[in-house]
Amino acid sequence: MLRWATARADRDCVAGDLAEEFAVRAQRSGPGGARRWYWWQVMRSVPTNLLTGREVQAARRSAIQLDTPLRRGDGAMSNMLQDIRYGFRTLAKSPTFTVLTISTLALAMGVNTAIFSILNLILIQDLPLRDTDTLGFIYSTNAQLNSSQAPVPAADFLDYREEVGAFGDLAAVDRGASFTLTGTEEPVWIEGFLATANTLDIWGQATIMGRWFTPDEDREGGERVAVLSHGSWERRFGFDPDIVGRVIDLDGYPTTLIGVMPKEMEFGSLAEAEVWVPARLNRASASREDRTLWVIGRLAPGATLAQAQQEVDAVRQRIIAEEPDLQGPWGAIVYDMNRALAPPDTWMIMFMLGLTVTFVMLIACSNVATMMLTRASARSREIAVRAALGAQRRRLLGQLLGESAILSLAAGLLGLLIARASLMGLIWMAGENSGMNIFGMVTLDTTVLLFTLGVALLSPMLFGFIPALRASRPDLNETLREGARGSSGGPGGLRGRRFLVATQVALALSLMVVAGVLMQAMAKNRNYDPGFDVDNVMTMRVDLTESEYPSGVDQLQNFSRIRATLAALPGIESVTTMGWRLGANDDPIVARSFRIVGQPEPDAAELPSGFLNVVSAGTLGVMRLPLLSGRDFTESDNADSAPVVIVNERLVERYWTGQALGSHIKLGTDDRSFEVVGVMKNIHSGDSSNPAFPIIFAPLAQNPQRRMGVLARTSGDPLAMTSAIREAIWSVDADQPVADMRTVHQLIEDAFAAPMTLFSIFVAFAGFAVAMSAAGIYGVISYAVSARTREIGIRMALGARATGVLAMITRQAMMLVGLGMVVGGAAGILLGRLLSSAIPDVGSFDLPSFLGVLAVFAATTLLATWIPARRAARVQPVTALRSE
Amino acid sequence: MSKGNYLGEFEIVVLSTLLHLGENAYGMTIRCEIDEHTGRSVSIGAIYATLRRLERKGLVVSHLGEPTAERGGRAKRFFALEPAGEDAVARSRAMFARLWNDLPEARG
Repeated sequence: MLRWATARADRDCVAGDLAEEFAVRAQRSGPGGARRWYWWQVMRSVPTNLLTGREVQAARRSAIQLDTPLRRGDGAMSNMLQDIRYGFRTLAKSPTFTVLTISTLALAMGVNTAIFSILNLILIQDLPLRDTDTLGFIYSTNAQLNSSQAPVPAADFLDYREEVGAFGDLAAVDRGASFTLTGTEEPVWIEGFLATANTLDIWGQATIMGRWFTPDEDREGGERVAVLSHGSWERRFGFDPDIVGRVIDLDGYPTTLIGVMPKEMEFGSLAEAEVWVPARLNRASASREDRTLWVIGRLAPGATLAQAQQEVDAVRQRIIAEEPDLQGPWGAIVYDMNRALAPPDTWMIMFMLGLTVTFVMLIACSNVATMMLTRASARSREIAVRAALGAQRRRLLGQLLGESAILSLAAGLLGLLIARASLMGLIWMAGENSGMNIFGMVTLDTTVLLFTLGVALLSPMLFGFIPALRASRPDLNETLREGARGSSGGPGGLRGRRFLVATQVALALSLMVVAGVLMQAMAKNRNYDPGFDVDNVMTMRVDLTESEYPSGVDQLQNFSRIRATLAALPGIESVTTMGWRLGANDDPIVARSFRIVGQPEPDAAELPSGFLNVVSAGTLGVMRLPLLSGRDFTESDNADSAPVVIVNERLVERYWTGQALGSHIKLGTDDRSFEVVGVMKNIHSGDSSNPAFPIIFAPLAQNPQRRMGVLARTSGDPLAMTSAIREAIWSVDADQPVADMRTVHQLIEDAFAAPMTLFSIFVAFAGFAVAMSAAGIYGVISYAVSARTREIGIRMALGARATGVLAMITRQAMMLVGLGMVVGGAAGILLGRLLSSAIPDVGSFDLPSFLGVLAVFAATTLLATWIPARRAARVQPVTALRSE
Repeated sequence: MSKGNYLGEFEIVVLSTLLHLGENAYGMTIRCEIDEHTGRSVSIGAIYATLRRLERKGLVVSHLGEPTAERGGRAKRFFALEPAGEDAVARSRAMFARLWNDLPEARG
């Protein structure tokens, strides 16, 4: 900024002056005022400096001209400079036009680019992976659970690695690990990812410091090592240059830090990892049932994904044949990178976004076009006069183009600034609202930036050129006479502008119809009923370390101590523990196949499946999750009593032929037979594509595990209890990290933060489009009407009544806007249809927003017609006849 | 220059301010001084532009001072009047005096 504000030689001194006075002012009137003053100073210095620069140049030029009086400055170069100087002058003479044109283009360009950059990152992550064409991703699929991108069990991965020849190499990452980092001030819970030794190799990345782990360290009994994420190196170790070789305490085990990951690998969910630890997969402990691994492979030279799929299928067939009860419904699928990492509806959303960017740009352009055409026709007389006095056509064109060039450049520059600024704004907003860390790496998207910049640069040139061409070859007689007759730019120009108005209305309206659909979807997400009482529940994760709590009994005891301690706190009504906190979308939850005892064996592929959630006694009561029949778990459902489960309505509807209550199920590889002691109502996740999960609850006392969520229902504001709760848990065991403290409300909100951000950005976008086109419509119509002052005067003189004239003018304007509304409405409804096929359970049309936009446009039109028309109808016919 | 040897109004303001400030005349003090005496909040850019112009006319001379901490380590550029500058101020003063001597008191 200072670059434009001061001459180069003075820049340092000026910056110093400003810094000094800034400090004085900051002391006197606070930093805010001082900062405003600072920017005000810088901004105000820009024009002065530019003018001075020009002054100097002008002086230099005039000196040259004096020296060579015969060269009257008609060399091409000096012509261009003259044109540009002339452009500056004429633009400065009509500041409203200049400011409006530049700011319209710059705003459209800036806002468009910023928004698109963010969405682009949410939707299509531009991954820093090498040779993505030869990468393949293996996922588990399960038609029973509607899942097509589930992780792969460790045993399957080991089989694939050995048997699938189409993959030259396969790596696996387990994203669900977490560790307790002790030895620092308080125990911290950090997210870690387990990975195989070849992972970094397949990604085509290298550590920026130290090294990645070796196959030896990736073996059971190998040395304990970990690689730090770049973010963690920054946050926890302050970029310690001697970090490699340092030993930290992970889950109670001394672990050597051997390397630091590159920053590029912090994208999407990978950004959550603070440490990377060897997965140490081995046949003996590898599960066929727990799906935890995200598998990525590098195709062997010459192999194709189709071959890989065939071989993977063959392995699955063999596994299913070995264990039909367990594996029946599960399949495996090989995706290329685009399929693997993009949500299924991406293309649709991208399409909508592309459309929006284009529409907003088009609206901006047509606004600019309108303004420039209007200006050109208003000046056609001036140009005609100059042409009549002998100005060369080339010079006339040049001058008009010089003006356009200035507008283009100014709009482009300002647009860049706005893009940067609004990107920062959006990142800040998104960070405030959702804490989504992916925004850390958003930069302006080059493609969109170039596109919008191109449009911003070209459109004034184009719209300056067309009228320039027309105006510079004027039928002098005609124009001069037309001017005398007081028409503005002739019927041709007006027709063009009317067409633009109708187009704008259509574009903005169709966008708004789509925005309406999205708002509906947002409202739905916000207001959905999850099926339990979400108010006043604080939740957190407590993951006990294996080293301190090795046995199930220890784990159980510790969790019940935590529950008892919390329940004794004043302000807490009840406490429960659950493996998956209801409402959270990032807690671990396992899918299990099961059989219903006494029911005929289904085909292996149709084996019932559900999500298993381990909970403590009284959970349904604490969560206020209603039972349809049967009972909640009690303290007497323990290791010594008969195994029990509670299932939900959805599961029963889907799989039970007879009475569910009292029946028995066999869960996965578990030998026990579980009695169904209760049927609970469905839990809905707001994500409408999953209407209700098929869920099985099992008591913690019969299925101990060390990673649990703790949920406390409070009598007052749960956030106020945060530190009391944490202290209470530490009073049970001071080395226990209490992680991820969020209320159920926050869990649910966070689960939808990404789509909600996306939707609200889109809606803001559409609103922006509507505002812009409303401004454009107002400009064109009010200009067109005031240009008819003379006609109105004549009509009045001939005896027309003021109301009649008003009605006529209004009718004509409304016809125009109405046409746009019809076209835009139709287009919008079509787009809405398209969209509602991408987002399930949303209507394709939202009446209130549609009517709202119609009202805005109608009001704009009325106002734009009425104000100048009334003025025209009021003036004396004689004055009107003389106008212009 | 078309203005001959006379100065523009803002040039006079700046030159007079330099006279006021003496040795301590650099960007910030000049700006504050003008603010204080005339009630005009001028942009720093305008001041530098004017000073540079006066320098080209040979009325003002400038030199770089020592960098200081409160300026973020940046040096001050001190400005001082050349004899020609002092003459110019004096001439302008005389001119205004001649012009205004015979004027009746300005009304309201």
